[in-house]
Amino acid sequence: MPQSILKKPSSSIAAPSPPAARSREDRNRETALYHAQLIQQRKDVEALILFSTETLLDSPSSPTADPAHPSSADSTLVKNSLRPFQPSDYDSLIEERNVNKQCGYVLCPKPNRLQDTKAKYRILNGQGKGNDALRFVEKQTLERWCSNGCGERALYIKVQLSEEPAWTRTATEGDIVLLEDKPEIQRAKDGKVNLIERLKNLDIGQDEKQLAAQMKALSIERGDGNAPSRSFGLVETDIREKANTSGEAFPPEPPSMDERTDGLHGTIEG
Amino acid sequence: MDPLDQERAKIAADAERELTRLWRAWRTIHEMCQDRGYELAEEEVRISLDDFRDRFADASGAPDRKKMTTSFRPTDVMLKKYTPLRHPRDTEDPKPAIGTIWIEFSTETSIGIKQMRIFAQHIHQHNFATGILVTQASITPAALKIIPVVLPQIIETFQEQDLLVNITHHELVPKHVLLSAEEKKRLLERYRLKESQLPRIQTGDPVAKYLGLRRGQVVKIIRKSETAGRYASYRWAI
Repeated sequence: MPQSILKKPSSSIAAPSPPAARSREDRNRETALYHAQLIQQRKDVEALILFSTETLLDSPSSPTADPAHPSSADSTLVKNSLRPFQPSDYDSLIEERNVNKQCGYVLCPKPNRLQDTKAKYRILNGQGKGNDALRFVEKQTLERWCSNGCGERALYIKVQLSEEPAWTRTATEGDIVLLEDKPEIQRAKDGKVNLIERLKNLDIGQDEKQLAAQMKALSIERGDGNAPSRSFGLVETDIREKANTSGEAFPPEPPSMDERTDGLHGTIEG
Repeated sequence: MDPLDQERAKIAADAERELTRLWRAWRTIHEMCQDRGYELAEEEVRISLDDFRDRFADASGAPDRKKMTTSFRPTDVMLKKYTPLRHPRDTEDPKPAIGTIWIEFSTETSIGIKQMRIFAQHIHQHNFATGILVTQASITPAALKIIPVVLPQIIETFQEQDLLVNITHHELVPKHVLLSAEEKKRLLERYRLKESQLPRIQTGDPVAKYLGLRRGQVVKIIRKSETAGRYASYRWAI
């Protein structure tokens, strides 16, 4: 018997409708659960960050630790616990440490340098001249660290933190690197201090001579100007008077007609 | 006058100003607790500047914040107001969500996580339902994250400068009255509303902070109206 291509009567499809209704309920529940889990995950991360902030308030472990040479246990702790941080979380960690009168850099046990003034800004002597000679710095930013070195170390960590909140990050971020782990930056930084000296030592004069010679060569190649062709090394154009060895010189004379008469002129060679 | 005396006079004047400031904050805090419904004697609320100086000033005349702590118990009316409705499946009567309040003026100039933890621990140890910390400067954002961690115990924070005047005494601030769970239920039934259909008030609103409103509570706001005499509106705290 041939199969009907028409729609089946409604009675036959009424049967699976209760499971459909239930599956919609299930779907709703699943969606709700999914979003609840996302929120829970976010809360967990925030709690973790708060916990890490509290732990890092007491870091480093020893009061005599040197921020330039942190102990391996301390630096691993810092690297691990700073991973979920955003730059804003890191800023609030620094603020917290300053409230406790500590240097803002997590591996520094020293107190932050307090400015003996109530003024909002300080004027510092900078390097260089003119506009660079004086720097206007907020007192608050000065009081954040114990020294410029710690400030550099702390900000080096900050630039590595991801702006994206930890609960939306997909791939695992790379490890956080301390400034001390990068000797080449250290060296470059040391170089920066002597920049002016290095500039002075640069032999600009020699460069200029070379440049001038090159420009001259170029102009000769173009053909303008009376250039010493020696620089090319192609044509020898030394003009030198030959020593007169044959007495008086006579101007050359045109051949006379009578030489033609000897019959030579009619000959055809080859 | 020799310079030493001048210096001394200046310090004394500063101490006096500080004392007056704290006296005003102290009075506002007490008025606030009375308005919320805690048990306070009238003379406690209306403490005069001289009495305040006797109680809290140190030898130099400056206020001693360490002594400025107090606690109050809720009145029966308040306990009733904070008791949630009995659900049919509950076997026993629900307990009121309110208890003794602890008030402390912070001696620290800046409040971080550590200071907040110490305060939270104190609240926890003595089993207070609510703790109010009055600070001299603003609290760091990280320290504020501790407040939701210690729930159901409630920590409220105020700055001294915000308590110098009682904002509810201003003529432009209408009267706010907290509704009990029973009153809220009747209101919703009468107007056939869901609570989400009410206008809202943020818990961070200055008056909401003054009354210590919590999420989900409904407050009745009574304004003067030129045409109707009085006009009541209701807001749902979120």
